[in-house]
Amino acid sequence: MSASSRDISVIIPYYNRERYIDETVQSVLAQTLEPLEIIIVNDRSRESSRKHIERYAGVCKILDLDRNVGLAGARNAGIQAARGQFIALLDDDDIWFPHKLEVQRKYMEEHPECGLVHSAVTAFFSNKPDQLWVWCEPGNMTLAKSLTDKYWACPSSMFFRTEAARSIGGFDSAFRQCEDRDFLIRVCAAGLKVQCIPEPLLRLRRENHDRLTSHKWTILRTDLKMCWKHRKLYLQAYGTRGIVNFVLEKTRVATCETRYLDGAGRFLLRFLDLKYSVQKGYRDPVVQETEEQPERVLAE
Amino acid sequence: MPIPRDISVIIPFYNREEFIDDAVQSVLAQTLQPLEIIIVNDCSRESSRRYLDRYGDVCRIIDLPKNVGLAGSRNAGIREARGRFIALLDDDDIWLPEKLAVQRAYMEEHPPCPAVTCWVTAFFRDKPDDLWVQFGPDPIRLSQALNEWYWAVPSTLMIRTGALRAVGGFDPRFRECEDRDFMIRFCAAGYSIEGIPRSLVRFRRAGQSSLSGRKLRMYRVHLRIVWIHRALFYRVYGIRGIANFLFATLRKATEQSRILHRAFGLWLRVFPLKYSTRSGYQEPIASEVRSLSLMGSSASGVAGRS
Repeated sequence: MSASSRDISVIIPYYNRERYIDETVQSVLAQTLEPLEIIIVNDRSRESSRKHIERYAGVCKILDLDRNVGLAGARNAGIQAARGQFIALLDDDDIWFPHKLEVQRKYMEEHPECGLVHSAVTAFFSNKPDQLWVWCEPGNMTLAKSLTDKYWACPSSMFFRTEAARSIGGFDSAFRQCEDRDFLIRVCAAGLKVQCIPEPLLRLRRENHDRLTSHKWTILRTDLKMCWKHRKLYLQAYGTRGIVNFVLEKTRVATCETRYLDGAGRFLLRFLDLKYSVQKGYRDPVVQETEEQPERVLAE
Repeated sequence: MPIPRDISVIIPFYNREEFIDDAVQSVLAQTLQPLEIIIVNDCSRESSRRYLDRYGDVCRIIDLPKNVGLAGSRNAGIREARGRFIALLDDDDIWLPEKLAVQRAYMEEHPPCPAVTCWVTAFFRDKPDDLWVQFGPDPIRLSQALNEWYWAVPSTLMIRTGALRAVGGFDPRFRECEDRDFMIRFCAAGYSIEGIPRSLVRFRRAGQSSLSGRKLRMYRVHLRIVWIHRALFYRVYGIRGIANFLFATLRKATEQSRILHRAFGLWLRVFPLKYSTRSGYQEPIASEVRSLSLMGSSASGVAGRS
């Protein structure tokens, strides 16, 4: 690809993670396809953490927010400020493989109809080999899939067109967690095409990870909130059963650290044999343009 | 169509300055030039590190802050690699000049093939070369990976970067036998290792601290491998597979002591090792495995926010 196609804005929300940010930024700087700009959105970090990213002022654009708004809000600020035609998200503790941008940019070039592309993800730990964490099923991500617990797109692997993200209004900053699933659902509901690259393109940090355990009940509450927000979509796609399934699965995730509850939940789910079956007559939303255009031609 | 330059060569380096010249020269002499040569310096002595400086402009040198062993340093290289293919080379082995060209052409002709290996010739100081690793035309699948007879020498491997990263590279907890563990995990993920029936790599057996001193330690590592992968052994060969593997490696461990070795030889003559897969066993297929593991790990974190 020629050097003239520098049209990617990388957005890194940053909150008190000076331990990891170096590796993250280095992985962007080592990309085979250079981005147009790297935007670090400082989400009101501690003074000392803020000072730590001063060293990147030469190569990155640093955006200081005046109050803490959470991941979603920080990403939105970046999306608003981005000048590139494409946006690549990256969290402040994850690491891209060197050809991540190149692969996804090439994919977008070849598939102009695709609105968002994510990828498989490996997770790394402190004491065992990397593990495949998110993988791709064949076929694109549909609304029906995005509503279930089985499919997930890691935000650090998301690569999308700037106008697409702006048209659906970016992330919902009402969510402090699970903003990624909410975003995915809204992208799919808007009829944008979401595709996945089956090759792992980034490493997700899972060493010294304690967040899931300490926040699991908050996460569950957010999940419920999200489910409530999208209840119409759930009803459309799966009926009431879809909501129940999702909530049950999420509850199970929240309890998976507690030994007996975990066993009980596992047993219960096996017993119930949750199945997401799409309701009769349900069709995934598609962008309207493709259907409208021929009509317009006829009218002329 | 000319083949693009898309191979990353990864050479882990640890205090082997007397051999590294041969290794790097053999890469530079390849008929098909790689995209990059990555030398991972696994915290070598100061003098050894300085020796590497001469390759500063033809290779990328990655310095690790602490010694992590062969597996860990290969992983460091795998992380940084930019090519679509990764070719591994140990710091004391030698490639024949057409190694990359032949394997890359094979990959071009067989697009779904995730990894390719080849035969190996060992060379010694005071005796003629010896064909060391040799195999039939069938690719290595899981049932072969669990079998002591098959071995893919790391220096022969050329692997698609995506596949290699998807299985997570080598396990840094193993200081020895990380190649066996890798083979098992790679095949258990549904990939296969195909072989080119031709010797393309020379394996150094000269002037090296031989394995003799570490025989029993190696055996302990084998025990660990069996323990970690016990479910796979059981699924493929049943209890007998575990026993066979242990027996075969035990025999190797006792190679130094003559009487024990003879005794084992006799025993094996009477009760030959037979690897027969359990009825109904099927080799894993890449996509199948993923949907299987989906059930297992969705609870632990796929759904959790990063």
